[in-house]
Amino acid sequence: MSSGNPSSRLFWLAVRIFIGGVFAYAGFMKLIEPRANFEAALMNYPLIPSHLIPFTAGVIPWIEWIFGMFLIVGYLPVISTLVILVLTLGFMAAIATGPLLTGKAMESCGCFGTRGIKMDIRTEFLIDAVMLFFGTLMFFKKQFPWSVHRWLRKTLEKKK
Amino acid sequence: MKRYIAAGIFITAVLIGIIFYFRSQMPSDYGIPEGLRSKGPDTASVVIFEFSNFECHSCADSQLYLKEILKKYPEKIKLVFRHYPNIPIQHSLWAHISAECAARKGKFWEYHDKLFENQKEWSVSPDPLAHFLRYAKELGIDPKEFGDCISDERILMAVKQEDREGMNLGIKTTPTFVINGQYVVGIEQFKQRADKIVELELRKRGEI
Repeated sequence: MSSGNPSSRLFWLAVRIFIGGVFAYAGFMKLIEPRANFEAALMNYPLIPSHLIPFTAGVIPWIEWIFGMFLIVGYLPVISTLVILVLTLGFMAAIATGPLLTGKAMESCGCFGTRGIKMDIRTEFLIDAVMLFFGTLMFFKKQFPWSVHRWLRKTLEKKK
Repeated sequence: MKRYIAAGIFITAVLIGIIFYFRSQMPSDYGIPEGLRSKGPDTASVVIFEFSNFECHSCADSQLYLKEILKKYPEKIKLVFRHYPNIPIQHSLWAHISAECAARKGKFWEYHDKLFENQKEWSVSPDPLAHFLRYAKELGIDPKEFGDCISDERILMAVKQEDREGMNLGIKTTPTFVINGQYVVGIEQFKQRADKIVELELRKRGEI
């Protein structure tokens, strides 16, 4: 699931930690504060039907946190990358059809909760685009060096 | 394969545990200021904490809906106001300091209403303090005492402290209402949910 020279492996490890870290942090910051805050932030995105806002606000932070951390440690790396890519596409669509389209770019995207990093909507869109690019490359190249996945597989193969 | 799944379950359990640990560390004491900024009976089954900023338009707009709920369930709700000014906006900070001074003269709610009703006037004024002083006079507060109060450093510190406490409680935007521990953020959520939450809480206690 990973090959290449040490610098290439380091590069893909950094990409994995960066993408996983952004998602894990975003999920963590939202999970430790009242859910109603994230629900209020989601009201700025018309792509999300209003009756689905409570459900979305309840589920998305958990997915961000768990799959972000899975990606960092490299557990189920292919599935985790795929989940994160789908989420990233969803976030970009929500931003593009909401604040960016209407020109009412919000001061803060609400991505990292109350106490997390404050990021405006354009910066968030740019970061999503960068993550989508490198995440897609990582997914198709299957570059997951130094992952729990590899370690577990090696251990299990040795036992066989 | 079994070990792989077991590892996944272990990692997931640790991740969930981390979140519950941090949630348990979150402060949950909303703090009732000593009588002067609360109204309604102490024995009320429903306590609404209002984290508001006098300069925010949604906070002013939400007053109508808040009053409707208070009117619908008289003597069953205790309303507590918590200062949550947006510190970098100077007008807002002074408005909260003035309101705190009015509170210390037992005129908080009247002053609170004046600030929201006249928000469009003082919020764009180059001299908001002149307006704040006028509102105090209209409510029969001694101008000299009011002036001394708003220049008192302790009042400023108290308002700033309350602002920090709100931040620590996870308050992000104004208005935020906490109804028996349930957060209601923004005017839209308030319109959609506040009445239902109050009704449910009163039903739970067999009061309606």
